[in-house]
Amino acid sequence: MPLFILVRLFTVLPVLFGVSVFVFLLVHLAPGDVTSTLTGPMATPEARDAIRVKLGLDKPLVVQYAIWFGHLLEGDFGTSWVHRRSVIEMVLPKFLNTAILALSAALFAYIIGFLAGIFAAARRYSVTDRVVMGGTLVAGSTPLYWLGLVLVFLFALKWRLLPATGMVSVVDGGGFVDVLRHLILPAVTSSLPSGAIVARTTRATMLEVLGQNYIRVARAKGVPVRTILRKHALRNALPPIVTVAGMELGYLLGGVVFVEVVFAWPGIGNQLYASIIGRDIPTVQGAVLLIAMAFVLINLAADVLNVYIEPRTRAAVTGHRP
Amino acid sequence: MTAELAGRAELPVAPRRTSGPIARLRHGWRAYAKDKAAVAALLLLVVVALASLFAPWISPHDPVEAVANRNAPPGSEGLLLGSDGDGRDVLSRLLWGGRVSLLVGVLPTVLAMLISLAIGVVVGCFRGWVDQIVMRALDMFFAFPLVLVAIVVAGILEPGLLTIIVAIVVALVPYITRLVRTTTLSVSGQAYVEAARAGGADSFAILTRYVLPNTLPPVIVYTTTLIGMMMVLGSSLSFLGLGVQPPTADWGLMVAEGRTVLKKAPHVTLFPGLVIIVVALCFGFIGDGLRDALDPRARRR
Repeated sequence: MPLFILVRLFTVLPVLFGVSVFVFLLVHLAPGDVTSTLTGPMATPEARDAIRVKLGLDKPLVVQYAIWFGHLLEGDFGTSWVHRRSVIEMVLPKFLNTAILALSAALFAYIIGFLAGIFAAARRYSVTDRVVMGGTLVAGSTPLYWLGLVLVFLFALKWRLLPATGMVSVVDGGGFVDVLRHLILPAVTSSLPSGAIVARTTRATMLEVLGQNYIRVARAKGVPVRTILRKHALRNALPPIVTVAGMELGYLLGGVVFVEVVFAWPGIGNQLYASIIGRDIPTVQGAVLLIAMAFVLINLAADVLNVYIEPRTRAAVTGHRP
Repeated sequence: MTAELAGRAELPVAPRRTSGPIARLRHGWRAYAKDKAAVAALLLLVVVALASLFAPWISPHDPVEAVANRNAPPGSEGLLLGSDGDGRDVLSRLLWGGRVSLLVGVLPTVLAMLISLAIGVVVGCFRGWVDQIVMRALDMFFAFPLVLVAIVVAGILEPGLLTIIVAIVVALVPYITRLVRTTTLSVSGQAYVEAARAGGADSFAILTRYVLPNTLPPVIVYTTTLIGMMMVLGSSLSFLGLGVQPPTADWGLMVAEGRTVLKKAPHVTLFPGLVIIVVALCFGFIGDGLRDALDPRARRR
C-alpha cells in the first residue's frame, strides 16, 4: 500500500478514539437521572440503585469507558433501553437505508451541481450565470425540513404523483420501482445544499482554469470552445471539485436527519431522532457512533481519491515529495 | 520610545488606523456601500429586526390566542396571512417568532465567536503543548457533521431556548477557533509583530494592539456568514421539538405546526419558511459586504 494511504490511515485512529470518548460522555451529559427511562418515574431509590449497578454506572468513569470500549471493539454497541434489543442489530439495517438515500442524493447533487457550474462558468456574467449563482445562494439558505414539506404538498398531496412518506408501499411494496418512487422526494430535498456547493465550486475552479495561459494558447490556436472546455479546462478543474464532492457526501449525513424525519424514511437519522425523544441513550450512542465513523471514513476516502487524481497533494499528506 | 517604535512598525500594514476611528468607519462603509445587495440586505434586515422588536405594539393580534376560524386562507377573515391550525393569526406569530429566531441566529454565533477568539488567540500566541492539547480536543468535533453535534447536544439536554443556544455554541466553537488560531499564527509571524517585540513591547501589548486587531476582520466576516446558517439550524432544532416549545412563536416551530394541516392550509407552512430563507439570505449578503469592507485582501470569487 502506498505510504500516503498508510499515513492517512494512522491519523484516523486518534480521531476515532476521540469520537468514542465524545459518544461515551453523552450518557453523563444528560441532565437528571438517566435510569428513569428504565425504571419509570415511580421507582424506589433502591430499584434505581440496582439498575445503576447492573449498568455499571456506579463504577469510576474511566473503568466504565474501558468496559464500554472493550464491548465496542467486539462489535457490541449495548442494548436499547426502549426496545431491549441489541443496538447494532437495530441500527445497522437503518444505516443501509440512509446510505441508499445519501448516495442517491449525492449522485443527484453532483450531476446537477456539476452541469450548472459548467454552464455558469462557460457563460460568465450571463443570465444563466446569474440565475445559477442566485439559485445556489437561495439553496444554501433553505431549511431542508421546510423544502421537504413544500415538495410533499406539491407532489404528493396536490398532484398525487409521488408517495409522501416511508420507503415502501404498505400494499405490494418493496420492488425496485416502488423504492425508487419513495426515494425521489427525500433524495432531491437532501441534495439541495450539496448541489449548490458543487455548482459554486465547479464554477469557481472552471473560471480559474479558463484564465490560465494554456487555455489562451489553445484559443489562439483556434481550438473550438467546446473542445477547450472538455479537453483542457475540465480535466484540470476536476481535483478540487472531487475533493468538495467527497466532503459533501459526508455533510449529507448531517442534513439527512431532518429529511428522514419529514419523509419518515426508515434511516439512521430517523432512528436517532426517535431515540432522542425516547431518551434511549445506548441507541443514540450507537447511531451517532455509526454516522461519525461513516463521516470520518468518507473524508478519508475523499482524501485518498484526491491524491490519485492530483499527485502533487501527496507531498502535503506525507510531508515528503513523491 | 517603545510606543513610538511600535507605532511606526504598525504603519505600513494598517495605515487607516492613523486617521482615527471615525475615518476608518467611513472608509469601511464606503467599501460596504459599493455592494448594492449588501446595502439592500442590511436595510431589509433592519426592517425585520425592528418589526420583531416592536411585535407587542405592531402585531395585529395576540400570537398565542385563537382569533379566527381554523386554517383560514390568506386574506380571509381580515387576516393578511390567514390563520393556522389553531385559528391563530399567522402574521402576528411571524412577527413575534422573529424575536426568537433572530436571537437564535445571532446570540449563539456571537457567543461562539467570543469564546473562539479567547481560545484561538491564546493557543495561537503561546503554541507549545497547550496548543496541541486544545487543537486535538477540537479535532474530535470535526469527526462529526456540524449539524449532528448540534442535534445530539440539543437532544441530550432538556428542550428549550437555552438548549438551542448551547447546542449551536458547542457545534460552532471548534470551527471558529480553528480559523482564529490559523489567523493568529499568520499574524504573529508578520514582520510588524517581530518589530514590536524587538522594540520591547510586552506580550499583552502585542496581543491587544497587533494580533487581535488584525485577527478580528476575517473572524467577523466568517461569523456573519454563519449567522444565517445558524438561524436555519436553530429553526430546524425547534422543528424537531428540541428547542423552543409551543405555544411560543418561532419560525421553525411554526413550520412544524403547519405540517399537521399541510393539506388543508399549506400557507401555514409556506410563510415562515419563506421568511427564514429571506432573512438567512440577508445575513449572507451582509457577510459579503463586510468582507469587502473589513478584509479587502480576501478577494471574492
